[in-house]
Amino acid sequence: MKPIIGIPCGSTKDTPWSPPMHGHRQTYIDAVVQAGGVPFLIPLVDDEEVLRTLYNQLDGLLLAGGGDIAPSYYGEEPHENLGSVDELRDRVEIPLTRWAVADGKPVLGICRGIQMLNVALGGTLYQDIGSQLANTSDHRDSMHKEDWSYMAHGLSIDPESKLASMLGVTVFQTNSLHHQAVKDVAPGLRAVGWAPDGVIEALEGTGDQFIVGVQCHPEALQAETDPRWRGMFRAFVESCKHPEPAVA
Amino acid sequence: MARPVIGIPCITLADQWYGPTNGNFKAYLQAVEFAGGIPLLIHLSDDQEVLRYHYQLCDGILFAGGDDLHPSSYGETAIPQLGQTDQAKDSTELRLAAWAREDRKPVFGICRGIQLLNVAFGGTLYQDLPSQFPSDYNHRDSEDRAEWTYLAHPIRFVEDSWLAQQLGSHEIVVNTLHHQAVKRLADGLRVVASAPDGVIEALEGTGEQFVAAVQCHPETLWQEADLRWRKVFAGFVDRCRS
Repeated sequence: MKPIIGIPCGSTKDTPWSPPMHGHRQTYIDAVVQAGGVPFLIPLVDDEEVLRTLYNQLDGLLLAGGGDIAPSYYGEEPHENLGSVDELRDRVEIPLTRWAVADGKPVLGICRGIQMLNVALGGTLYQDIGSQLANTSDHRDSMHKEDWSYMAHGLSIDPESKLASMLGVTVFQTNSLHHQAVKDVAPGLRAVGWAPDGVIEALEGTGDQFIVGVQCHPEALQAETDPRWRGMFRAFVESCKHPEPAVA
Repeated sequence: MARPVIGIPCITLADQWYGPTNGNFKAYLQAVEFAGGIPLLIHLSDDQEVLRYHYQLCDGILFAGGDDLHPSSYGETAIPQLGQTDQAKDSTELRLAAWAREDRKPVFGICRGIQLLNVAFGGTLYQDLPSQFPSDYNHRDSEDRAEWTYLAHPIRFVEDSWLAQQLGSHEIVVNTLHHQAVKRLADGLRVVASAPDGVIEALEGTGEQFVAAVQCHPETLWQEADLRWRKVFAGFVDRCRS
């Protein structure tokens, strides 16, 4: 059986007058399929019973990129440079993340996903790197270049980390499309990757459960630009094969 | 499971540098959720094994709006007025529709969905209404007004249709955002509603499988513009429970 990997959707619009759409970029889907999983786009549903039923189908959770998390989840007032917040998405991802961590289901967080992982488990965020952290580089560089594969800055991974063994490398270049970052690391997580300016770029769980978060966008790199990232996606999907069977 | 799972195949949006996105309109997902179902997005894939995982979790499938079906799926060559097509969507949906037909899983079609079901059952489409079926009616009226809920023209149902029974009316006014339509009706389906110009607006199955489909966009009407559509979605979700 291939493991089912849930990916909570983001919201998007195709024309100004069209109603909102829920979905995700093809690269997330491709990365999961390539690693041997079955991607499941999770609609942003209002009803917790519906969400729980969808959650019960999952063997693992992939938290993808998107807008900012409401700072109220980590006890702060909105900063003037806070970006757009999707309350419904927060309401879907917070419980999904907590359920998965509590049930031992593997979790992989990407960009907003590393931030969600940290916030859902009790950590905090810089609401805007540029205005809250001095002497930092432009962490939106690949976005300004409108190029997912643009390598914006270096990344150092703790050689002792599980992530380092998945990637087989500890110092390399990566893309960068974010303006928020992990501030205080949540209990049960530890920082295992940093940009040269000190911004936290990777987290992992301190226990045996697969819990990994990265601030960059490896889903856009694994196919061509940097196939080493496939090691992380494979390790994630592999770890989803073992825990409790999905409830039908 | 108390609430049936309703699969909704995605559409693809391409947004320049951002790259293609798989997803679907919130209105479809909410319609299913509000009607008592669990909406499940099915991403477009030529990988039958992956698709089968999604299919097997579904108690029913809602085929939603989207690009034109490629006319090769019904044995025609493309005319210049054909709109955008999406090979991955065609192959994903035709496969799902065939599996559902085999297993008699309930299906519901909206806009492209009615066209998809007619083609999946062996029928054909008008590739472009203005050039192939001249009429006084503009079947893209709501789209041209950039207003999904604009009620553009009436449709009239036959006496014994399931849809009319759910709606509680035999004539309703609907929104309209399409340029293709059912041409030759497939075996196993029957026409249950038409527009005043004769364009086919609703189909139902004649066999054991539950099949219902409409050319308009009720997923944007049930909230406010026409509450009667709620009973249609609820009725479909109910048919998926068994």
